[in-house]
Amino acid sequence: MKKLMSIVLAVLFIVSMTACADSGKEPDATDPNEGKTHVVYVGGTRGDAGIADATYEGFDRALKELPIYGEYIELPADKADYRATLLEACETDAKLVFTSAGSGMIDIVIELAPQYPDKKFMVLDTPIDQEGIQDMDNFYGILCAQNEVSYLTGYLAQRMSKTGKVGVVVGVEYPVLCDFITGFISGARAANPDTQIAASASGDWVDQGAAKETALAQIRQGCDVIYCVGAASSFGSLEACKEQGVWGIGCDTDLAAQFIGIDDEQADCIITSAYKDWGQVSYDWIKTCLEDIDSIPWGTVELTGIAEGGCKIIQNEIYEKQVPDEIKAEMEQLIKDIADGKIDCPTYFDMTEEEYVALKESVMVK
Amino acid sequence: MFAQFFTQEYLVDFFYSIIRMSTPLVYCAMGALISRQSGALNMALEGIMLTASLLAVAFSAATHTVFFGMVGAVLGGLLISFVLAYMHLVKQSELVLTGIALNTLASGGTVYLLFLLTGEKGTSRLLNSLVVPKWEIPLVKDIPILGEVLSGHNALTYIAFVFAALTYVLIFKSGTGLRIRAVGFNPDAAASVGINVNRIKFQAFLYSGLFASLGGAFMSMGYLSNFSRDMMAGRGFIGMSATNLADGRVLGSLLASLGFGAAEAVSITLATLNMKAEIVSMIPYLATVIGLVIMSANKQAKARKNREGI
Repeated sequence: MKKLMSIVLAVLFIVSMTACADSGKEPDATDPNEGKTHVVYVGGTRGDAGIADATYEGFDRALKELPIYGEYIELPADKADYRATLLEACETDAKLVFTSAGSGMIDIVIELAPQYPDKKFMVLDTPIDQEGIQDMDNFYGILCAQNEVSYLTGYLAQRMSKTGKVGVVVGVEYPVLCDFITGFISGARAANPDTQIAASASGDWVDQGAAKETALAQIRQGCDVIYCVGAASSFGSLEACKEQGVWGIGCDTDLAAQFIGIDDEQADCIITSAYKDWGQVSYDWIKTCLEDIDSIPWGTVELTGIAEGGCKIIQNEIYEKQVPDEIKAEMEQLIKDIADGKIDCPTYFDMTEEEYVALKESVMVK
Repeated sequence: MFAQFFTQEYLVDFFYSIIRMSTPLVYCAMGALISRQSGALNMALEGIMLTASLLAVAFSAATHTVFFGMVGAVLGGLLISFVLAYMHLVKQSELVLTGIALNTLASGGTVYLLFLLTGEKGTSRLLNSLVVPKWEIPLVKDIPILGEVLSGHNALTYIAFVFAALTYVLIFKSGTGLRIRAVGFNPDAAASVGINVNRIKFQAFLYSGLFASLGGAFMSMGYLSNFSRDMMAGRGFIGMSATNLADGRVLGSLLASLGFGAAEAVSITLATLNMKAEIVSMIPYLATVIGLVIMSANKQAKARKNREGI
């Protein structure tokens, strides 16, 4: 048994050696990547039906359509390893590296970027008032105007609600999520000044059980439209909506589309999703870098909203089917007004912490 | 501000949700109890439940029968506990470290298996898996208020309480249980009367895996309708603390599990009141720590009394 094992291992070893040798020769003959730009995307685990999937979609399209090559490096589950993963990306000869700001990634990028002046870094979801980037010529942040898209979902939620109570379930309440909540509350208020809103965090981004219980607790309080902003944990809160027969609103990607044909009952209750078009944003950034890299305002954070096309609400067949025409027309008008700048959506980033808490308390479910 | 929580409707739902949230903890606590009685700490319960919840979904999707989903869950639980028992008892590995290693293995391994099955790493929504039905309990459901709280739960919730009773019979009323307790109390004494200590401990690990695995099945086939990565989110450890809190007694473990379920329910209700989420989500864990401290203080006081008595 042991002998057999050692023979098998020896054979495997030799095979793998020769395999390596082969692949080592290839680039000498013809380099398929010659003249192309090396781009690395460091992203969260795919299959989150959220930022990671959406961003990868854009990266994948860029790989196919633009003269670039590169790889997607998956972030490990353990946040302590984020730094090592980003270092790994930095040690490649990539010219462009982009990633998402979630869970402390932003600080690591700001720390490492100056050590790699020949690379350009882009971070999605960078807070608009991020400190320590002003003097960097290879850092660029993009923030999606989640307050604008949440304003739309808040308005829609309130218009679809019979009880006048709506809820929002987020994973963890950090600044970008506070901006979601701010937009949602403002939108709901625009539709009905007396609206009551339950806003709670379920605790993390993966525990569907906690997200489901949080949504159920809100439904118990009388909320009949739930805005589920919880990446993968959203599946739990959406399931609560399905079971209790209330409307759900998804986030990040088109969540209803994930269920059409698989679980139609679930799909039918997701009237829309707040869509952050990270795929398009990432694609555009790579394209701009290739065409005219100096046109990007390095060292700043830029905002992309309804007008710029960085985010939108999904108007798919479920939306068409479930939302009454009258409300649809109002939504169209609202989208136009926001894009034209006629409506100024309040944002968390302009508020003090006290103002934000006061805003939440003013609409609390009684 | 709190008045909305004291309507009958709200309270009924609230207590109903406590039972629902306690169910996985009850299974896990019973699993932990059996191995504790044999003198071993089964650290791998989290991994056992996680593996079981994925296999439950996979088997039920493949066979379109709830029953085989349960079979899958049990196989998954037994597999992990078998590895743990084999490594610890036969290969003499450190028990706690092996348990932690198995938890890590389960956390990554389930994602890998999920990716092989569906091509996705997040959830199993692409698998057409089933859900264990809910049961209305005749007679009980007609009792006003109490009936609404107790009836209409998932079948696995009722089975959890049946399993708690089974645990009692197994540990305190059967020959196997007597041997398990003997081994746990004093392995040398047990060996001196001809009991094969390793064999009994091995059995206890397998029972432990079997009981806990149904908690895993409940998570993906009752509580939720699909598997998602790391979906146990520490429930295995909370269940284990419930047993430790009750010092390995069945009724105590059951009550402690319900207590932790209640702590979770309270924290979720408070979260809707704009309490700081970070503080609120500490409640179940804080309850665990406080419970363990009280427990240990009690034990010390008792030990001191005994000493003084002598």
